[in-house]
Amino acid sequence: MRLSRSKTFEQVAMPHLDAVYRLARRLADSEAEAEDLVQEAYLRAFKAFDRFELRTYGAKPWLFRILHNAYYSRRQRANREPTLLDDVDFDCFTGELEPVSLESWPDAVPDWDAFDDELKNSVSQLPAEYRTVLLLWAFEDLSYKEIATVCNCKIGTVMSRLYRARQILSQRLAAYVSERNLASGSIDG
Amino acid sequence: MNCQDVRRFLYAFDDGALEVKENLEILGHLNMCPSCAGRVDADQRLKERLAGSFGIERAPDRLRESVLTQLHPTTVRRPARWIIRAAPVLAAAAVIAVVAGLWWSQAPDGSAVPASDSIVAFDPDRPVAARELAAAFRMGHLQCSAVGRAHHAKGLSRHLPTLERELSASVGLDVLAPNWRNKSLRFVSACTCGMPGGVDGAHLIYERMHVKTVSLYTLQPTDLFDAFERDVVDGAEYRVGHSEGLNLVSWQGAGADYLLCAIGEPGRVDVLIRDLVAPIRVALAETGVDPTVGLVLAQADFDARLARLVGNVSSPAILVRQNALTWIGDAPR
Repeated sequence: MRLSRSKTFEQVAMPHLDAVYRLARRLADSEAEAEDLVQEAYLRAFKAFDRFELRTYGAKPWLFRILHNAYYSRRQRANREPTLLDDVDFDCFTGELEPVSLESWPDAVPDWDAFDDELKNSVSQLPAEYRTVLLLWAFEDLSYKEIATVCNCKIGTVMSRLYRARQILSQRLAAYVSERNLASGSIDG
Repeated sequence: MNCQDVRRFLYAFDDGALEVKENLEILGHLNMCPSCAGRVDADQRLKERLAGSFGIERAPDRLRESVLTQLHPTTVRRPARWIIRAAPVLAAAAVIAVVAGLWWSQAPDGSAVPASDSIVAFDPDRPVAARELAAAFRMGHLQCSAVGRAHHAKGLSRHLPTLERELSASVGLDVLAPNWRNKSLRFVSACTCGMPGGVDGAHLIYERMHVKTVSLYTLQPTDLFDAFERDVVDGAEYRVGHSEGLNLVSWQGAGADYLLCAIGEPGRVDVLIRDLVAPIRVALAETGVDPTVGLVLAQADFDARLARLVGNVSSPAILVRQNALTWIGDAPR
């Protein structure tokens, strides 16, 4: 019985190990911590597998959610990172942004291909909540709804975090280009 | 909507998260505003870059072993070293086998093999029923869509005019990579896929609202679609098929055959043709203009870009915009 159950879990969960590890690697401070996190997440998932509903979550979002919870449990225990205060729903989010300041959008759009290291560096400096939604959006191509499921938050919060994360990255990269007087593509000219 | 209004929702638009009404309003603005349209392009490049920068890391083998050991506390699982070393090769071989099997498997006696859940095969030397062929392309569309972003071949540009040139050079055909953003279709991926009969070709996938709805194939000239029904729309002939929720529309170009494979009800084929296919086909077939030139210009959705293009065009060319053709330079005789 146990063997059969574990085999089924393996079939469901192990194909997503690389993706879960990638997310853990970007969240954790070190490779060792990332591996610990993945192990903890898989153990939690295995114990909760009886309650897992594939049709409700899909295996990958379910594993991401467990990893996300494990990560934040650790952070809260260590009291290392406060929760962001701007967890707003979408109505608040859009109201807050009205009117949008066009100055907040950089004039020139950096050629991302040329700034791989700076891009990675900028991502690593994002607050963890922003980093998580950005990674789920960019690497895993999850929908807002799936990201909201993983992060246990509202869809509006996902949109808010993604908006801010992308704005921060754009501004940092534009500033980087400007400071170094590097070539970039202006889309307005 | 002005720029300020649009930028509040630009990312949500780019992520396909808006309702149809808002989507159309923003599309209307993007068609007139190169600045905001450029932001959408830049955002897509950012996403691609992020995926490319971080998306290829694999979990270390020791972690895989640790997790498995955790699940089987009484049994230490240690895969043979050759399996660990060969894993990437075996995985690649499995993918190749599936892709190859998709199109080229056939029964030992040479007859067509009935469609199964995962493999569709037929004999390239025998006539194929339209239904079978439609099912084969349906399977190809679904399989490639299921691969997700990894379907995009490494090294290929995601800039459509550049992609068109790269793929055309690669397969020796006039590959189409149209910009269908004004139809709310976003380009997802492209690669050279195995095609029926062993012909080479290109396979592009587009999506609407995160549903991968359209495949566009460029193929070596073939008689594969002869068994399809003939359909004449606005005076032009197309070969059409329908299989389990997908419409297929094929037409002949000067040196290539094209096939569009899209989710939809059978009765929607004519709409599909008028919406997506006719503008390209008319541009290619009736003008004598070099297709690449025509299609590169077809990307010029915006008035500002158009103004610049008009100043630089040295040979006759056309602009395809909202199903209407506009001549730039002198029309060919």
